[in-house]
Amino acid sequence: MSDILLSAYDLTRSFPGRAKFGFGARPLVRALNGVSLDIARGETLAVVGESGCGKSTLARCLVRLTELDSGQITFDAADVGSLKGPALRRYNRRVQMIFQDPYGSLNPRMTVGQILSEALLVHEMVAKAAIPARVAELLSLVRLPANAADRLPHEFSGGQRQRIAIARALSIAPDLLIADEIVSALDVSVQAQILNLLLDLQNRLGLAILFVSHDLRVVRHLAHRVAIMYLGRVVELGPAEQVFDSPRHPYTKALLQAAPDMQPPPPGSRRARRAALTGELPSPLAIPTGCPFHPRCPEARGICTTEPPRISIVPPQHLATCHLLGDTVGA
Amino acid sequence: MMPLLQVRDLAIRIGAAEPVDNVSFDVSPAEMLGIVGESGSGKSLTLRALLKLLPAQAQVRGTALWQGQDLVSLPEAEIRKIRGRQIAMIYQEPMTALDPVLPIGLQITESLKVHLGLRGAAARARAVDLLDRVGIPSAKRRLDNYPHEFSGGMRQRAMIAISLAAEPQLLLADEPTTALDVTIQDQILALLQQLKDELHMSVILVTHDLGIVAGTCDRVAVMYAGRIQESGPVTTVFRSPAHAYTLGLMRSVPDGKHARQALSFIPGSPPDPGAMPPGCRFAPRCGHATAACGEQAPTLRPFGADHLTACLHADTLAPA
Repeated sequence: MSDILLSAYDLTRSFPGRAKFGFGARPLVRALNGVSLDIARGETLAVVGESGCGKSTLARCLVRLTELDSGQITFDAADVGSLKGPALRRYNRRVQMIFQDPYGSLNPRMTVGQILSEALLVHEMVAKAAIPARVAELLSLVRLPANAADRLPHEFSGGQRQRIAIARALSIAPDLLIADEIVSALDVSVQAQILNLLLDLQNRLGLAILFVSHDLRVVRHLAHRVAIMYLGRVVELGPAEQVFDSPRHPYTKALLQAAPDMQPPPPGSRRARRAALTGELPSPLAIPTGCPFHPRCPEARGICTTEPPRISIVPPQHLATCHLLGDTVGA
Repeated sequence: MMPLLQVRDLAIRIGAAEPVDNVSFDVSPAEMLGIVGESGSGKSLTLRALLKLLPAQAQVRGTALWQGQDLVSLPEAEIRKIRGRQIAMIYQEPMTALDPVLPIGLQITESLKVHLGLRGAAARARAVDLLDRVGIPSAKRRLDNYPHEFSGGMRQRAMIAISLAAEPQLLLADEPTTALDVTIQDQILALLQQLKDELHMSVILVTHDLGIVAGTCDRVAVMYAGRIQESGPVTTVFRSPAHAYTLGLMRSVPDGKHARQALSFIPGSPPDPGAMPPGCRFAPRCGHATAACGEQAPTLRPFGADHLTACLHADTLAPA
């Protein structure tokens, strides 16, 4: 990876859980358990996983909505943890987050014009007189009508609100968008519009996008690279085609198999259907020893229950953490 | 085969809005029918109307023939004999559908008592059987657990166990896996299919996910703006959709072959149920629409074997 914009190294973050019966020691929820990854300029990195895997905590840590316990985030060669004053403000401008719920993330009492100009004022991006013109430009960028500026968020549909949230994030010309499940609440026909918009904006503005999602169909469409997370760890990371077409980690394989396919099975074959994975997602309060996936893994062996797996590399850039792979695996 | 349930011209009016209109479909014995549509299409309302579970101000017209009786006109006292016993329902959010202050076992035995008159040890033994059947490990011990001690997937299994208590012939499932993770969703769908085959039970599965329908259902009805636009066997509808809306919906889903290329999409958004467009309700968003589409509401017409469509331009839609 030549032009790295952001790199995260060995990030950890735990939250105190609720103690049994309300007293005694509070157990730790290990949301991030040594996560390392990086994002290049202009690239979409998708972070995929089921609930409790830490994908949203990762997103929040990257924009410093949640502080890290340990680990390091480097952005444009600067250590993010030690940024202060104007440098921190600059980071906060260059990395923007968009949230899942387009109903909760927009202030219902502000007009769209106010929402879009607020960040411009805070960061003193353009002269005051030039703000209306910039707002109009942003609205046309996300394909909303120009008169939208005078209206309130409740006058818009879910898809349109998500466009407003995207326009707000783009208003201050960020380098990196952190998108946390931004199309999950939308119907498919509207979802397609937003995905097209993201692709178009990325091509035109050279944005890097960290795209957090549980929807494998969407991820496959959008991502250059994919990181699969399970219980606070990245278990597989690589170029999207390789992860989807030749997954290495048994969890990735199961996830791909479990995702609904748009092709109906041939008549008669339906009866043979079996679930891809048995068992529940373990609680992040009690992460299994060794490889955290071993209790559900169809291929688990003795070593998987005791030793945490090391990273195996499929040259050049495809990684997976599984005992069944050697240190290097033939591509 | 005689249909188990025959719905004809079902319409729901709530105030000035008519969110469901002219809905007709059949469910055959041991068949899994998928009703697919986007939010606001009226799919959940349709399901609830069958068991009179709509708020009092909703007016329901039309018929739903079930074993010689019309569910729509049946008085509440009669519906209660059918609801839960012959026709059971499961919901999207099992945590709100289950009673949080009662152990799971009690919620199952209650159903056994009401519907089958089973009590005491016999009811308990049957409850263990049911939990076992839906794949809850160490069922006997789990009987005394409360819903909050179950994970999301386990709760949905428990809800399915309760719904199976009286061995219904038809299970209504309203987005049963939408709140679940993908590997758990996969387990629940496999379970529903297995139960359908083993118990010879019919299922109506309401979902917004075309992929779930493709992988799980035998037949599909596609709803848009309160009307069924197309219905038929899953293989036929997915291979050759005969409605512009179905085609548009399928093309909006990334297919995994054209990564990072623009997706086709349906412009605009669904109509407000208080102001439905005249004629075909999809016409204002449809690329195939002609003047005729805006004039008269098209009705479902046969289009090939067991395949119905309400699209005037079904013949000229490009093959998928």
